[in-house]
Amino acid sequence: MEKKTRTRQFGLHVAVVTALVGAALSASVSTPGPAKAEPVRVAEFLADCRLSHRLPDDPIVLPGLPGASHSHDFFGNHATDAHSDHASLARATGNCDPVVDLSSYWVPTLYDGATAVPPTGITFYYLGEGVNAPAAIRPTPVGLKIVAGNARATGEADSTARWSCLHHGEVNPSKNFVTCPRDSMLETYLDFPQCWNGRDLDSADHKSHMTTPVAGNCPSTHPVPVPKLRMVLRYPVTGDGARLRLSSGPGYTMHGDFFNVWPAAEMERRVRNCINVVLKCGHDGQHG
Amino acid sequence: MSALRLLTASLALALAACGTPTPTPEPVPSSTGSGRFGPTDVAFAELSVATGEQAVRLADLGSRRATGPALRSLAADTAAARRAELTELRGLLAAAAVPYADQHRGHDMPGMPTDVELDALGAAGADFDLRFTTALRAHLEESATVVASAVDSPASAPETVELAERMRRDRHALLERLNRLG
Repeated sequence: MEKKTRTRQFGLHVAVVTALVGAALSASVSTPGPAKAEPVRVAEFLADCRLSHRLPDDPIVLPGLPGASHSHDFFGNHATDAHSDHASLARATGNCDPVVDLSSYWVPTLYDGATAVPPTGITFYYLGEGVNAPAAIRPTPVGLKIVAGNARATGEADSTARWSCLHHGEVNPSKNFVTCPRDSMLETYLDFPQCWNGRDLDSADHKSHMTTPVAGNCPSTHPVPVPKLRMVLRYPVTGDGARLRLSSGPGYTMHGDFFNVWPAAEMERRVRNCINVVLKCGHDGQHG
Repeated sequence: MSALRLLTASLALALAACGTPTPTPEPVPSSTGSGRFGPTDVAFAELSVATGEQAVRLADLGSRRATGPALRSLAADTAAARRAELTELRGLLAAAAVPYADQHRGHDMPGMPTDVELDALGAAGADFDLRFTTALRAHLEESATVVASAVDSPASAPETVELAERMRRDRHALLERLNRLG
């Protein structure tokens, strides 16, 4: 995992976090045996998922209209289609680790020339970063829908996309596709807004019920901090970035959709055990 | 809108058919059965307005630049049809007191000629008619799929089904004319 520690530091904890992360990393490297590492002071839990299916559907933006969208790669829940609602998704199965996460996640399909390329690394981090008081973060409400990234980006200036090369930091990240060396993979990061208005699970533009913090605080219009969802995708693609396109258009149109189908108790436990107390948890939602 | 779209859709169907169990469609409680104008109707109208505005630009370009008289006439009729649809679609939203929000600007949606595609077509030379024919066919075929989805959706309100059905017939009629041009 290419954790970007610099983006997980906040406020006064910077030095402490850095020191402890360093200590924990070196401990885990030097003592691979059963010795238990110190807990890592990073507010995080995660789900690793796989590609489930590909459909020209979008249950958030185009509900009830199968075939009306560009192609999407669906991760996690096996049943997602244009007609999905929380009840239908909650009755289905998924492919994430942990299996209790039945959430549905989707992105536009990536094409290398004429060939659709599914990502082979699909990780969703739920993070406490971005707000000054992680202890105040509340569980993501059941059934919450979020669209992240500027789906209407008309260029790099109004895009929030980020493309980079795995293990090759010398290739500058870009809002559009980058050209990665042969021993690398194409990576994309997308952060979802983490301040909820406390009332609506969706909104007319599918965005305005959520916003981002200002100076480490959720604004009064969106007073409820929830874990920040960070999607990290890795595609087995290297070489000329000019060959690549998304079903939605150029690389800067990258966006992600999230339909929360975590069981309430599992989400609540992880927020309490990992996020509120600033500890790094594994797939089971337990920390070191 | 792209030439890959139909291939992609076919592949997706094939993938769904052989790989994953086909999910049972769920009713959408907010509008199904009630006949009320709901999220599916809003989504259809918003997508169709965004698509229609770009289609007007495509058709206007064809009615100005096409050299074949029949093709030029078909382009002009397409532009007129899309303008009339835009008025009706905006009327649907207004009747439901839903302000129009452009959810799709800059995106490549089925049946939607993109700015990049329109710029490239605008720069075409002697092969304009051929390239315009390809772009118009893609718009009509892909858009026919989208409007058929609204016609068939159990979540569509009656007024949406009625308009979408007329939009579907319009696309098939225009495609027939296009096919007759050879």
